Amino acid sequence: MANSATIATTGEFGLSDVRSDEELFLACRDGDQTAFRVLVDRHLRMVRRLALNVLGDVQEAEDAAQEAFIAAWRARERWTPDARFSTWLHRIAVNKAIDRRRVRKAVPESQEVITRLADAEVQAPAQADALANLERTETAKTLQKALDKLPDTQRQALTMFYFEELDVGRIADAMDCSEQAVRSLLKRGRQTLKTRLQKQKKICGYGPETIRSPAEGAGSRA
Amino acid sequence: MDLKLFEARLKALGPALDRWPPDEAEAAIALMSASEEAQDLFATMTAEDLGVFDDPGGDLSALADRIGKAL
Repeated sequence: MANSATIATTGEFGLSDVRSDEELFLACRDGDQTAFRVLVDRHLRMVRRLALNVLGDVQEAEDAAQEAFIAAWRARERWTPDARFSTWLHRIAVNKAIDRRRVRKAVPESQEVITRLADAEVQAPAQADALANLERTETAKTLQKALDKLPDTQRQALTMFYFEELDVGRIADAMDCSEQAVRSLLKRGRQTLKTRLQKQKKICGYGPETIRSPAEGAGSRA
Repeated sequence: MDLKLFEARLKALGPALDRWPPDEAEAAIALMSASEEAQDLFATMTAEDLGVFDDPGGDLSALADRIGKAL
């Protein structure tokens, strides 16, 4: 076990504590959130940078960092002090970032479709051009119809992710399932939507490519 | 990719994988998925990188608050 702090250590946000990381994390087992806040204070920048180095996207990296700390908090009962806390936390962060990178790689095309559609609906009122508004209105209706036909769990996951902008961890909590299950629901939902909207496009002559570019960073939380 | 090559590429290219050739970045991800030693090496290089360069992340207090609320 590392003796990582024998004197008061002041973290990034000014929190100070004489205890080592390991002592603080042991205190977390009793539900001491203040001790955990000190650990977040000490390690957030490093964890975020680890995720950023894997993902190359700031928003995704911050979501992965959040997931890593929440995973650490939830695993506090199982952690044993023979392992250095920072090493353990960094491994969690790397794995969370790798998971996100894999999800992003697995569904780039379908994610782009739903992202563009979601952005179009959100941004529609701000568009002045009448034709563009008409296209967006039609697309929003098409999207809503397609969403309505999805299984409840897929619709809930997509709605929370794209319209309520919750991250995967929060959605998992809300739906009382694992984060992996949420990712699976998002993936299946996007694929189903993509298929149905492509069919709609063939019938009506409009579809995802009528929508203009998405807002920066949208849809990057899964 | 093995650990030795991974270490060599980390030293040559740095730990930001978006600066690596895509096929090598994917090989590095595959290695880190299977090897805690590779993860630890990646963390060590990232820590060194943080110590050498200013972090462009700016104020992280909002993210820290978000984590605190999510517990």
